[in-house]
Amino acid sequence: MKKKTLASIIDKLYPLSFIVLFILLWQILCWLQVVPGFMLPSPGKVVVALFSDIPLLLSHAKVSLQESLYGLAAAVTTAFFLALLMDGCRFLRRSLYPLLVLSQTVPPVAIAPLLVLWLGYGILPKAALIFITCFFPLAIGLLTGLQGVDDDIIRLYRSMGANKRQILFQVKLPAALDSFFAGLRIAVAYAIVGAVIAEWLGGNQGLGVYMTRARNAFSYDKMFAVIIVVSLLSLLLIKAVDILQKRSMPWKRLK
Amino acid sequence: MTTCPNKPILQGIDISQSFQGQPVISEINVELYPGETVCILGKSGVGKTTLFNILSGLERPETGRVLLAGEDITGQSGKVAYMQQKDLLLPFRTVADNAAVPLRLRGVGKKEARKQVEALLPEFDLAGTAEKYPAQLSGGMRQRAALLRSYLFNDQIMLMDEPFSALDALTKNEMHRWFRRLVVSRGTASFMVTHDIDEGLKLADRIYILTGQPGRICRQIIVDYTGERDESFTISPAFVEWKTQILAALRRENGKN
Repeated sequence: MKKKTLASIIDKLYPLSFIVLFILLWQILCWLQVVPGFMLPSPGKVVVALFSDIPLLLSHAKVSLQESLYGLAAAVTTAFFLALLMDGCRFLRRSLYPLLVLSQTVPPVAIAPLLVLWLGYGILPKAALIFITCFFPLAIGLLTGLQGVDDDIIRLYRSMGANKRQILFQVKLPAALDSFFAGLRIAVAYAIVGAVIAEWLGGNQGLGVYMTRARNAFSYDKMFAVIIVVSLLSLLLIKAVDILQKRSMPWKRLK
Repeated sequence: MTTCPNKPILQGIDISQSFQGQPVISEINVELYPGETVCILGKSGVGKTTLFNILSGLERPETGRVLLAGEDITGQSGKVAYMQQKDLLLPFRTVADNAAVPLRLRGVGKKEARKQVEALLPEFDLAGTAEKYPAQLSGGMRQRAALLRSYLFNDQIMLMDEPFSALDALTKNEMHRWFRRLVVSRGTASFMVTHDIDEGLKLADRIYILTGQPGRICRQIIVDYTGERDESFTISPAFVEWKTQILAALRRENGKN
């Protein structure tokens, strides 16, 4: 057990040491003034900007997080029902799958202005963009999981008299959890980024709005500070998904 | 062990089936009597699994009927469960929950199903594993858990498609002895597909030999050995004689093809 803990600590040390090295290199570049200070603020200045603006950043982060969670909730619900329909109906699967793939070829930055135009400057266009960004990995993840159940298991259940509903709820859905969480992990990473993109184009609250203001004021130290907050929020959401997955899939902890 | 009362518990009558226009099995007649173990022996691709899919109601035959205790159940699933080569235990359910699946599907309450499963765990050599997940079990234990699930579905008949073929030789040997003890003590009739002659002789009271293309029953061997079917049985003259007969039947059919 102790060996396992030590191995896990060492595993975490690798990326951490790389980050430390990267920051050190960045600081040296700034000291040597290889890049002008207004273009690349030093890590020290970024940290100062981060802590001096923390109450404001947190209030903007709260808004972005809220938008992300609304968008995610809508995406999870819709993806769930659509994946169930596509799994149950071959016609729907064959006709909707290409459209789903096609929806991913449209860049979110291109749709965002249209959403603002149609839905205004409130929370709705942001949640809508997050929904569009997150929906695909969730729906495809869940559909892949539902479709990936061993046919022999389904035959066995059928031979025991199980109906379609019983097979869905007792076999397919629990078996699809793994793929669903893989999709959810990608979706939450997209969610905050989606919120920031939507906020760039309209609105008066959120990390994207803060970012636009910082850019307009040429405060690049604040730009970097908000980037750190965006990354931390995404990491926080990914961690939350990991915890949720471990809680809902106790059998995975055995491996 | 062979009780063979007058009426068979399961009958396949004149069963024929084709796949994409190619006949797979033709005019097969099989019977399983209460309490006996019957093996179907044959090479791969001879239609053993097709026959079992039909007997279990997963497939409807082109011609022929399946009778369960005299009732026509042709093409009706949910009457006879069968266990396949893979244990097919759900990785996200504990052993107790996996075994309780047929009871829960039948509408038995959770507590009652659990009680029934726990009462049988020791007999299936699974005592203390109720809360374990399949990933925590050995190959033999997983097969026994799958057998328990089949038994709880129908304690009169078990259809099994090469249930022990994925196990190593030692575990397989142990499983054979344990299985034989179980079906004798419980009086369960079992119908098993195998391509392992030794396994067939160790377990069965009767053996159907399925050969040809399309597959037909070419011979039936009655293994009326009254002694213990342990290692000494496998070197007995009777065993050798039966094995020779089976091999001859299989070779003869090979020669014809």
